[in-house]
Amino acid sequence: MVGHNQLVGHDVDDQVVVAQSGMTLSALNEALAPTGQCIPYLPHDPALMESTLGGLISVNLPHFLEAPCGTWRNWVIGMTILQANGVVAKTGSKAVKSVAGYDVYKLMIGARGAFGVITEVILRTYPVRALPSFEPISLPAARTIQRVLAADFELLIEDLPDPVFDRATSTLFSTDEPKKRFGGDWVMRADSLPTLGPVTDLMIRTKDQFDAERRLNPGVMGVF
Amino acid sequence: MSRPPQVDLVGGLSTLFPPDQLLFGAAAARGYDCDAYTVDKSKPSAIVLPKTTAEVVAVVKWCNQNKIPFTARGAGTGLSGGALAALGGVIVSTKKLNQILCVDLPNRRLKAQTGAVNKKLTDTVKHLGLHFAPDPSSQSVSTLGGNIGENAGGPHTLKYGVTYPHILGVTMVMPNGEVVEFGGGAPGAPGIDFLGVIVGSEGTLGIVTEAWVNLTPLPEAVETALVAFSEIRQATQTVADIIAAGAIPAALEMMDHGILKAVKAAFGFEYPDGTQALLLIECDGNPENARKEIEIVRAICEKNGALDIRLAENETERAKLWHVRKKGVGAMGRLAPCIVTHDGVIPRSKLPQMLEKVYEIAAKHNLGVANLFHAGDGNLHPCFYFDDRDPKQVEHVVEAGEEIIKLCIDLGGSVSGEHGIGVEKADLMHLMFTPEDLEMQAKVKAVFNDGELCNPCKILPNQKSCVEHKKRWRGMAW
Repeated sequence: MVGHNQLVGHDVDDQVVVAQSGMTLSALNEALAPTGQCIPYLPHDPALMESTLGGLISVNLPHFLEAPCGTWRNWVIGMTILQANGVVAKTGSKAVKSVAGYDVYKLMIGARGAFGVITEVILRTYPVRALPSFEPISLPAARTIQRVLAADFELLIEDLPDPVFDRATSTLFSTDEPKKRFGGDWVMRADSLPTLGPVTDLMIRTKDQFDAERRLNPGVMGVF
Repeated sequence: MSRPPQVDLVGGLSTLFPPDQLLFGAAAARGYDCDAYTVDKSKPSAIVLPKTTAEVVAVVKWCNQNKIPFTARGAGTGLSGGALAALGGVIVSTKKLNQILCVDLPNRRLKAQTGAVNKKLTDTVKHLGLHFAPDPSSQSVSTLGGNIGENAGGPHTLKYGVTYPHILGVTMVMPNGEVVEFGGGAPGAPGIDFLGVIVGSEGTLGIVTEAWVNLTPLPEAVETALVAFSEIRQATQTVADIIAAGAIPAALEMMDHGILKAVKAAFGFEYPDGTQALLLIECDGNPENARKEIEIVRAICEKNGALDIRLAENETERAKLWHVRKKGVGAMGRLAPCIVTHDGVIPRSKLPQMLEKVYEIAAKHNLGVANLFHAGDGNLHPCFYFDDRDPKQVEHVVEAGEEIIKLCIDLGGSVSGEHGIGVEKADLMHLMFTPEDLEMQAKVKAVFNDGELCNPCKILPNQKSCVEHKKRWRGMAW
């Protein structure tokens, strides 16, 4: 989708932007900068800023400004989707607050392309003036991301020689396999697929609805 | 399925529920025949009041076996008819499913049954400096389950978000009676965000019986101002200027002279002569930032010609300022026997032109209107007041509502800001979505609910066998 990379529109006063999914995050922030707005995503690997919006949204990796500024789940308010059957449809709208049916776009965030191809995305922007001050940390070689419940966080990082973490979201970025596991935690690994929970049946049912013939990203998420 | 077979409903349900958890008969049905959207009514065959998830499973399975439709209901404060019973249907009330199950302070979360009242969640943890952030105006009676069903908003969504970001996990009874748990561990887990579609699904994907909710620290300092303007344009310009300044106020509410008339009649609330609009603005955070922000706000209000700026000096005064806003709609009972609160949302910048149109539409239909806005979100609530004993007036109110919604969508907004689709707006969905868009939404519903028993005929238009239901619902006025 990298050629499909244009800014479609920016409603400055309403803090809403529409962009094609092939636009990179850095190109989008560059386009927004003159108006004092941004998408406040700060990944552990700076190279991810050159990833496309569609890719970043489809994988939805944790980032360092999550606690003060939110995630793609907070910023995405609409999408245009090219479905497996070739039909293009829209979900959500430019309204920042809306309860209008089933928000299909919410299923697409983090779904790794299993249910449809995102072609366009509607985002609410964040005021640059309201960004917290931060010290950027980076660990481009991170291979696992682990998040625990807040009460377990100090135990998670104790004894680690030089951990890279976000305390506010109890998240540890590591180059190794997790050494400690806790109840309620989750782990994402770069070289394998996210572990599934007990809602596998519903994931398969969703796949059956959106891509019965299994055309999209076969094998993704270890289920489809 | 058009009409349920002759089933001994009461006999059957009596084997599952004791007398204090089963209501039937004319009086009970009348009490549950509508929610706060009173234009459409539908009498349920019976009402059950389960106390546990297992009891909800029992009634859902029984309904499946006997092909009886069922609809969950919290406090019945919904504004789009989401809690209306289906034809011949059972109401599953969550009023006895109201326990707080667990307060997990170290993880800043709380688990409650979904019949628990919204405000009760906050009251449980207030003394610990925490609260449940979603604060719809109905919060002293509306339930967590209702808030989840409608993805409830409220005055503080501008800064704190709607209900969805605060739901960490749910236990849901599926339409076929299976129980599934979603989320509940560390938030933001990889996988599919089913919570994202369950919250806001208006009870059509199953019955949520328990939920883990996020607890938010109460702000250290709160600054609240009530500002009077002699012209509406000054107020809407003030809203735009505040947002443009990069401020993120906790609340930014607007009320017009219609609301002021009502609260004056109901509470004797005084405001300067010539006031056409009031803004209620709240800034919170650490004491220094809150003060700084409210000073920025004050300067903007003065620049735009404010008649009067009242700053709350303490909690009592703050409560008084909010009283005007929270009780504004109820106060309209002084003006007419019935009100309908419409709900639309537009890009914030379109607020001034939208408001002018609302007055035009009201005049055209010869209706009184008062306007309440979550001005920061562009979410407007035109409240028409009228006499619902006159079917002609009811018809005008519905038509006026449709005209307003059409306009919202034309201006780039949505068919509903926070009240949901329910029955009220199913036939307006086509104004916002193409058939392909709606077909894609129907796929989501089918993942959870491919039958016709779980709160049928809500949200999506043209669902099969819904014509009979509709005839029944719109039986009231014409």
